[in-house]
Amino acid sequence: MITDLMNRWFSAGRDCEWQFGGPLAGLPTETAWRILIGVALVGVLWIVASYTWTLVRLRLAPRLLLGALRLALWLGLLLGLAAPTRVEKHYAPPHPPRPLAVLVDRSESMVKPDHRGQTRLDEALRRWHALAPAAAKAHGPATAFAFAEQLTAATGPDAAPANLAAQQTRLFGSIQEVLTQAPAGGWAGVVTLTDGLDTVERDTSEKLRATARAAVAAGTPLYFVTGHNTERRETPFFVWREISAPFEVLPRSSFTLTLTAESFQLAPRSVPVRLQVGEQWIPVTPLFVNAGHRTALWQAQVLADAPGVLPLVVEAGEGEEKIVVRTTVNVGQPARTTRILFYEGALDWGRHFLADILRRDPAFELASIARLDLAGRRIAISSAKRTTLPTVATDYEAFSLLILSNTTANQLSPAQQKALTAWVGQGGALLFLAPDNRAASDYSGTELEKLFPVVFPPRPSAAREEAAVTAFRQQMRSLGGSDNNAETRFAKTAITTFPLPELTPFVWEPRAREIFADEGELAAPVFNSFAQVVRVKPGAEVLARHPTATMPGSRERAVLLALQRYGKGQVAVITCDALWRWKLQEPSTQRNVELFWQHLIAWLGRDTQAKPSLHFDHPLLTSEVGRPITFRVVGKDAPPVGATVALGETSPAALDTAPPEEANTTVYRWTPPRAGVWQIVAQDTNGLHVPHWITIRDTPPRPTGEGSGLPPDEGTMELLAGQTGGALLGEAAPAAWTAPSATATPLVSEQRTLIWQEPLYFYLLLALFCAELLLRRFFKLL
Amino acid sequence: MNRKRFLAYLAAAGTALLVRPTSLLGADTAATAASAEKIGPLLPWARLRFRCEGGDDDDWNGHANGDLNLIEAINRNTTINLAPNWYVADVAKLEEMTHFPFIFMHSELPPVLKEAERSNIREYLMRGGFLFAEDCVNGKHRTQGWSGYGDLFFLRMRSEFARIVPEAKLERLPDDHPVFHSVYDIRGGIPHMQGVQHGLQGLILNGRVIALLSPSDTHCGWTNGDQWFGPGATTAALRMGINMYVFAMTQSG
Repeated sequence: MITDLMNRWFSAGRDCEWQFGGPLAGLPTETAWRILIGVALVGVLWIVASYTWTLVRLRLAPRLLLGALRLALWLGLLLGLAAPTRVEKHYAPPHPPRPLAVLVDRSESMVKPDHRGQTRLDEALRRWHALAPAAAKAHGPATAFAFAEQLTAATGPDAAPANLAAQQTRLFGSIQEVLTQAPAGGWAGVVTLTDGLDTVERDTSEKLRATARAAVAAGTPLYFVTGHNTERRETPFFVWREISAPFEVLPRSSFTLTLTAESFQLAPRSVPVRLQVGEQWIPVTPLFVNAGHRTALWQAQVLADAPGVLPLVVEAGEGEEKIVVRTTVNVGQPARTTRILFYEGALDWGRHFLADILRRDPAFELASIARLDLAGRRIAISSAKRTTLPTVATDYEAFSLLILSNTTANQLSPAQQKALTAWVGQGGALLFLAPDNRAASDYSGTELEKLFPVVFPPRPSAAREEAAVTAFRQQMRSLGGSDNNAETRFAKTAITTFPLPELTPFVWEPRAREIFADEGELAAPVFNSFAQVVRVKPGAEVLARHPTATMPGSRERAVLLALQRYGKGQVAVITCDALWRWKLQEPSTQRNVELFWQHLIAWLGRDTQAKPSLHFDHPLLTSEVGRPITFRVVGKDAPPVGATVALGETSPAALDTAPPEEANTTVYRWTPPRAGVWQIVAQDTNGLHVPHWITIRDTPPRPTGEGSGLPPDEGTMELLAGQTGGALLGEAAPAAWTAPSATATPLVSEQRTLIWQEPLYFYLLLALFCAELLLRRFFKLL
Repeated sequence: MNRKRFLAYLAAAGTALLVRPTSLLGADTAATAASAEKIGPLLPWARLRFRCEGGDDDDWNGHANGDLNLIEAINRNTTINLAPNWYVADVAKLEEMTHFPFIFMHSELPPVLKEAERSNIREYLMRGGFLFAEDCVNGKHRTQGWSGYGDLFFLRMRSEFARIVPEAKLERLPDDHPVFHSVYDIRGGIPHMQGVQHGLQGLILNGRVIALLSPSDTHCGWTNGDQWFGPGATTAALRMGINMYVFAMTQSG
């Protein structure tokens, strides 16, 4: 209570407080005050007694004057010995709140009732009303929009604007328009109540990518709430939409081949898939597709063996439905260097050991930025050209991988977080070495949190100083700084008081073998401390777990290493210390630590470093006879100069070009004359060739438009949401709305000022003392 | 003591306080420094335990409080998160040494190392550990009247390093070496508290400093520098300590 009063009198609110130093340092404040008051009272009694019975009889006035002087001196001395310290704290400004935008699709397919009188909008709104309280709690009141072919503002999700007719659906364009109307700081998310059917755009895949890019650039996750009714389409179909394989891989490594399929099925079914790697057909799992209009992912792990060009052929379906997709992967040592930017928010030994490992491998190039913050001043030690992280995504393009180590969320500005998120979404790679529990929890609710494959828990309380050290230091202070006997006693007991830090080994999950080695036993890294996570995000992969500790409130073992795809990029999180202890534990003749880091970094940076200099930009894999197709060919080092198309052994024919959209990009047009697997070959001015294969079928066009009866396109919505860090919402609110945000404003710095250090204070005490001496002399007491 | 004398002493004490008001409470050079909230796992600091000449098993642990003062100064002035503990690593046990990325070795007497202990230090350094060895100067000899020496530890360790890592080179670090400028800009080399001024030596292997050898007893400066070596000594010694620790962590090359 007394301290509170003192704080209220002398401090400037929550940013400033008083603490005791000197012999009272470390004691509970109330105890310190009691001691101080007790000693003061004893002194007061002594002063009263000494001026009551003096050698010379004094009158009352001199007695009171001398007593007051001595009392002031006594209290002043006590105050000085108590060494009150003014502690001034500076807090980071809180993150400005960002609102949600709710976008309601009021096109014909959403408002048309089925035979039960039920519309898709009715169900979507019912779902949204269940989610709205969590959204309002996390982000405040939402801003509503409605759209069909046009976008318009709405007073609320339930309100139907009068100027909006139930027409075609301009889904992607409307989302992009809402993104451009974001307030300062952007939207916290855009929630779209829709069936996912864009009936305006001809090429929805291109629009989907553009929308994802816009959302990632704006740092806005997209959420979808959909509704069903009994409207449905009759003709099933299955097509591959996209193939994803690395351009270049290391010999004797494995990589993931990913294909995205789009299908409409009346009932769930399994699509047979065959995979040919080089000359060999290898067993793979079929693709299971659900009923309705879906987008589905199919993946296979492929082993790359000897250096060379590895052809891959994927066949899906049978008979007339069969689709063939081809691609190639270069197997060999990457000619380029993996350029790594290592950013440390606080200095740690991890970089020291990692830099020592990487400097011996010419395939890696490490630049580092370490925040030192000398005496609270924000300074950095840097071997890079910059001393802070970029605020625009393009500035990251000089690097294949960013390692973010020991960094708190409040050390990165909103612009830096947004740039980093955008870069990863566009294909960058991030390795996050989590700081301690307390600092890791500050990522809750931040822009960067959506990058991580795991969710960190709320902020725990700070650790306390070791009691034995505190007691020893108190003793040393009281003894004047040193005492050989006491120090030797402490040193001898320290051996048992401070046992060696315990080391814990990783427990690998089977998936880790594909990344770190394809044969032999995986060495287990050891560590001392780790940051807890509360859960693993859906779609994330856990590679290593704690042998004994579990996640809070779960029976699952705590996560030590996890991965997640984010957009086109890749993010890995290591929750334990930066494994420098493992390096020290390994004999200097062994290379397990080196292999671990080299594999992990090469794997993370494999996409960014292996961009081919000439490539097709998201080319179509299947199409239909007579339907015009465009191919965008991008030349990184040299502009494309031509492209040819051929079917089997027929002579290649040159493709027409469209007006260029960007430098070093050429758009080619082609209308397939007949069915078959066609090969397109593009060429640049350096003579480099790159092939692409497309399957052309005689499939009749699918019904389109609002009245087609197509079911909600949940696959497209899931894909778009996943690329932007959002989700297709069901009954539960996403983690970003329910995760508790940091309750305390992050402390940036703390300034301590001892009153004992003010010379004026000592002059004042001396003046009091001298005045008393002079008066005592005057009154003949001396 | 009569009242007059008591008052005279009190007046003298008050005057002394005015002249050096901070020193009576122990020099707290970091008292006004700002300290950010610490981030990341706690990093351990350790002292190396070893035997000294004459079978002395009690000379390696002098002034533990100096280490703790440096730990506090590092924590207050940088983003490094050192554990406020005082660990001990026995030179005879490699498995103890390898828990610590940075080990401090310090004594007044010359160390006596067995072959296995040399091998342990070598392996520790080869794995990436960093050793800071410093001469506490011949305090014990001086008290026994052996004046004239001030570098027994330094000279012994200089020859030991040549045996431990023969392929490395021990050389005096020039004043423009990064160790003197990694955090604070320290001019004129290592602040010299006492002893023979050989300058700060770096054990260099493949372009990297893997150990430091100091003859200047900065550690006693961390402990009680202002009182033992004059005003400002504590600050100078702590700054050098911070520079060495940060340099060991961040050196490039």
